[in-house]
Parts: sequence; structure tokens; C-alpha cells
Amino acid sequence: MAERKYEHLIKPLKIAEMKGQGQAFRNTGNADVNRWLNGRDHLNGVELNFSWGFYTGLGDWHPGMDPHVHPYPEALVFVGLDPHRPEYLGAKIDFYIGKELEFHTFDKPTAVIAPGGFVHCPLITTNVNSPIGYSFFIISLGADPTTAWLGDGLSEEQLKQRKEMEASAAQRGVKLPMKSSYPKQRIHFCEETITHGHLYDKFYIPMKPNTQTARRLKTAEKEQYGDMLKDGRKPGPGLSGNAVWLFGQDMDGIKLNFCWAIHTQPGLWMRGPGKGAHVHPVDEVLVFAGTDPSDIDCLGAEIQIDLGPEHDRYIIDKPTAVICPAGFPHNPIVTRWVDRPFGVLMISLGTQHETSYID
Amino acid sequence: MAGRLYEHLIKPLSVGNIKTQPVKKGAFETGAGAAVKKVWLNGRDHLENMNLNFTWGFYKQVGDWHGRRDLHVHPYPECHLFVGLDTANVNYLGAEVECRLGPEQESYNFSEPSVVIVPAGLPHGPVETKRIYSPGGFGSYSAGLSSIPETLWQDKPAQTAKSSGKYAHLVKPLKPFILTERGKLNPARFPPELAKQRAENLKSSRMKLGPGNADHLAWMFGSDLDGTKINMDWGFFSSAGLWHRGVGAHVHAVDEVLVFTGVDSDKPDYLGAEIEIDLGKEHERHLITRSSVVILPAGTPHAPIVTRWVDRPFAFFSINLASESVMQFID
Repeated sequence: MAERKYEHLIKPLKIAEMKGQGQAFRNTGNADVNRWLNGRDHLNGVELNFSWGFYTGLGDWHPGMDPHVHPYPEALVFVGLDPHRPEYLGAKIDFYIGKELEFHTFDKPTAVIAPGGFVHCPLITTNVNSPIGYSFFIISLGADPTTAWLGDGLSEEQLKQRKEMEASAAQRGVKLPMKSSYPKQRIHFCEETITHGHLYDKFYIPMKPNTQTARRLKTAEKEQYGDMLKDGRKPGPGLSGNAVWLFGQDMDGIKLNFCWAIHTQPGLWMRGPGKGAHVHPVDEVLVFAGTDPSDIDCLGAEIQIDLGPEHDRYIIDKPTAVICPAGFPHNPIVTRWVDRPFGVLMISLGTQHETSYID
Repeated sequence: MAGRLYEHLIKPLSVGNIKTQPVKKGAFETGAGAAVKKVWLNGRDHLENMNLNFTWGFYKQVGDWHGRRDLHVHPYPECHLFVGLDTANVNYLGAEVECRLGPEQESYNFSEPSVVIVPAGLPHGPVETKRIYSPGGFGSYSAGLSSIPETLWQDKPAQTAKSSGKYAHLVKPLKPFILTERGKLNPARFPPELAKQRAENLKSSRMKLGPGNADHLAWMFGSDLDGTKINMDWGFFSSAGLWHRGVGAHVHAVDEVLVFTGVDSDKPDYLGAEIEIDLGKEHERHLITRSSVVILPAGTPHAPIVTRWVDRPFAFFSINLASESVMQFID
């Protein structure tokens, strides 16, 4: 069958499956399993890389390697998996940021912001209370995942092995999921080098339900949604009442706004006049993710989304990212059925969610 | 949305509006118990020449439905369904109704949702609403197997008879035909052997009920309707989502209509929901936002159906011109 016109904009998360990942992260706090898609390899060049994964492990996420730094800003978001308890994380996380290695700890869903070039981590899971663990997603504003590892915990032999592996991959033309470098100047992480200040409190944002399904919005807040909340448009039954939406002004002004929610109900997402297609002046990626830690490739729901001005309808029944380039008409979205709550992550590359309806 | 090849197959029910006249004592055209709002659509004028005419009306007043013109006959079979408008209880009629059947005008009374089967040529009438309990009244739809409604009014017999039971087999409560009640399938709807066979058919089709399907649904087949070549249903829906999972479009070898209607007699055009239905092999998508009929000539691919949102539970009935409902899935 010939490929449909907009099929190239629909990317199953499984395309980013990393074989042997479970072994790589064994005995760390890092992911049991995750999918990490980037603009370079998966997202048609969008200046973005993002991940979605399930976590139950304790300990440092990158033993000996942190802190680290990226050339782009990012949001690191820790969320629970209970759709009815949006403020329950089910884990306790210690997170150090800044060159001061300022210590922070949290046990509720939280977004941590790291501006471009900002030193962050180590990141240590100290407790997991939830019997099914928790989830984490990263939103990084670069198409090519790039990290400079500043920790001094790797031995010379380990460093050599890593560099050889990366050089070998480059020779074979294999693109590694992360472009790593190991600057000579290192930062030592220990009890003596960490600090306990409040310089970076603003980079920790509680993930509390805050959209109009949870509370009455102020006029200035509504402005951030563009035309989405005008002309009588309102949430439909398919939307979650527990969505959290952060805008650039919440996140140190980075060019990002994102919305996270676990959806449980079928139906139209946004009601309103007309056919419901809209555009944004910036790129957007819609991520539909399952919440079954035993099967990251199970969505547990069926969703339809219209793409293009002709309202070409696509059906999504597995974890998937939908790329909506700037100016590209998309929506409405209808959840057809739900066997299991599923996560929805809307990533929009602007400080505000400028939206214009076209029909 | 591309192409509108099938737009003519979806019509608001209001195309069949019947203007009910105010009751005038001594010279009334309609009885005191006549519908306060009623539509009557027929194959010739509205339904693509289908061999069908159907009515749907809201009844809120006691009295005779037809006034002086009581006893009448049609040259085709007809089934009348009397239903309540309480979307939480499909077994509630909220009224007491008397139907007279046969040239003797034998009297049959019921106060629960019921179906009355009128074979071709059987004189019947009047229908009289004796009591109304429900503040919203009740509803009734009829399906007549002719594209052109024809009624021959007859003189009243000198003496009307009480029920001898002669026509009792033509008056049936809806309850035994309930397939789904409060969202759960009724295991007692079919005898065990038939239930097993239907379950196997369902399994082989890979079809499952979706979240948008009925809260309550009664379905009657030809064998339930004195052998009439028709199967028809009646249900209430309140949830968003897909109606049938695991299957795409299907066709029937016979004509069918799907009727989506609100249950507020004061606002009969208000559906209270938004429903998406695909028509044609191209899956041309249509949205239904008011009380409407979808006309499906034999062989017209249709479905899936998705309820997008519901502000107020709505009613749905379908009339399929075969004794059994046979679906052939095409994609």
C-alpha cells in the first residue's frame, strides 16, 4: 500500500528502541526501559530530543559521570503513574544543580529546568515507594543529543573504552544516541563539594494540575494558549482533568511550553465551533505514551488525529510521536477507546502556545 | 474533509415534521392524546425509495391519538414501539396505553415499554394514552414496510370487545428483548444455543463493544415480531468513544436506517451529543449534531461510529429490513 501523505509525521516510539539497554543501566537509578527520540534520527530535524521511560531502580543515574552539561536547554520531568493521584510520584529523588552542586530533594512530580550550558546532576534515586515505579521524560531543545560529562568518577581505562567505542561507531558510520565528550576540567562530587543553598530553587517546578480543567484561569494565563480558549472552545470528554501545562515564563524563559497528563476517558479532546484544525508558528510534537511498566510498547488505547488541511485521519494504537511542523494543520483528536490510562505529552517549541484555528 | 458523496444520506429528522393541530372539540383532526411533536419519514419523499416509512413522536397528553378516525388498516405490516424517555431505565414507560387490535377492536393495555405488531391488513386502533406518569411523557416509533404510507380508515364497529387473547401474541413487552442494560450484556436475551452461536459469530468477526456503545439496548428480530421481515432496536447512549472495536466499515444486504434523536420533547431537534460516522468505502466522515436519520441503502458501507461528546444522553434506533441483522465487514 502506498504511504499516506502525512505518514512520515507519525513515529512509533519503538523506532528508538535501544537493545541491551537494561544491562547498560543495571544497578543504577536509571531507566528500566525507555525510548529516546531525537530530531536528527527520528523527528525530521525538529530541534528536539525527548525520552519516555519507566523507573524502579535506586542509586545514581550516571555513576561517576556527573555532573554534565548540554549546549541546549532542557526540562527533566519526574511524574507518577497513577492517573487519579497526579501529585503522587512514588519515589524520592536527590538532584544537584549548578557548578555549586546545590542539593535539592523532592518526592512529588517535579520538572527540573537546566538552561543551555548549565551544569546539572548527579541525579540519585534514594527511594521508590510505588509498587510500579514512576516515569521520567526529558525534553531537550536540540536535534542532536550532546553531553559533556564533567564527573571525575570514571577511571582512565573506562574513559579510554568509551572513547574507543565512540570512535569505532563513528568509523562505521553508526550514529550513537548521545554524542558525548569528556572535557579535561572535571568536577568532583562528594559530601564536601555539594552546597545547600537556594540559588536555583526557581529551576524546580512542582507538576500540579493547573489547566482550565482543574481551575479557573486568569485572563493573562488564558492569553498563553492563543485561540485555544476563545470562541467558546472548551475541553471535551477525552481530555484529562489532571493536566499540567508549563510555559516558557515558568521555565526560566526557555523556548518551550509543554503539557503532560494521563488520559483515562474516550471522546473528543477539545470542543468548539468548526472542524477544529489549528496551526502553531513553531514546531510541536505530540507524544502518546503507554503507562504499563511491563510493556513500554503498549498504548492501551486507540486515538484518532486529523492531519493536514484535508483532515486526513490517522489512527494511533501504539506509543507514538506525531510531528506537527510550524504552520502544519492538525486536530481534532478523539480518543476512541481506553483499556489502560495513557500518557500524553505535548511539546511545543515556543514560550507560549500560540494557536490559530483554520476551520 | 475531502468529498461529500454521501451527504444526501444524512437528514435531520425535522424533514419529516408533522404539524400537529390544536385540539378542537367536535371537529378535531387529531386526538387529545396525539403526539406533541412527531416526524414521519417515508421512502418516497425522504428515504431514497426504501420500502419503509417510520414515525417518531413524543406523547405527553392523555387521550385518543387519532380522534374520530379510529379504526384503520394498512396494506403493509407495521411495528409500533412504545418507549420511555428515562435514559437511566429502559424498562420505564411512564404511561399507560391502550391499543385496540382486530376488527373487533380488542383492547390491550400496557404500562411498560412494549412493541405492537400489526400484520398487513389487520384493522387496528384507536390507540389511547390512559395515564401519563413521566413528566417528560413517553415516545413511540413505528416502522411500516412501504415507501408510501397508506391508511384506510374504517367505520367503528357497533360494539368493541374486551381482549379475548386473540391478538395477545402481537403485543409484547420490550423487556425480554433487552440486549444491554446498564452497560452490561444480558445473558438471558437469547436461548443458550443461540447465544453460543452469536458469541462465536462475534468472535470470528473480531468485533467488541466499544465505550461509546449503548447503556441500554433492546433488539427485536423478525422471529420476535411475528415473522415480519424487519429487525429493529431501541437504546440509550451516554458515553463518548467508539461504538464497535476491532472492525471497520460493514454493509448489509438490505436497506437500513439509523436514527439518532434527543429525548427532550420540548427540543426534539436537540441531540445533546456529537457523533461521527463514516459512510462509503472511502470512509467519508460525517458529523451528526442534531436529531437525524442516516439512510443506508443495501450495500452502502458504513461505520465506524464514534461518539465525540455527550451533554445529554440520547436515544438511538435502527430499522433493518431483514428478519436477522447480518453484517458483512469490508475492511
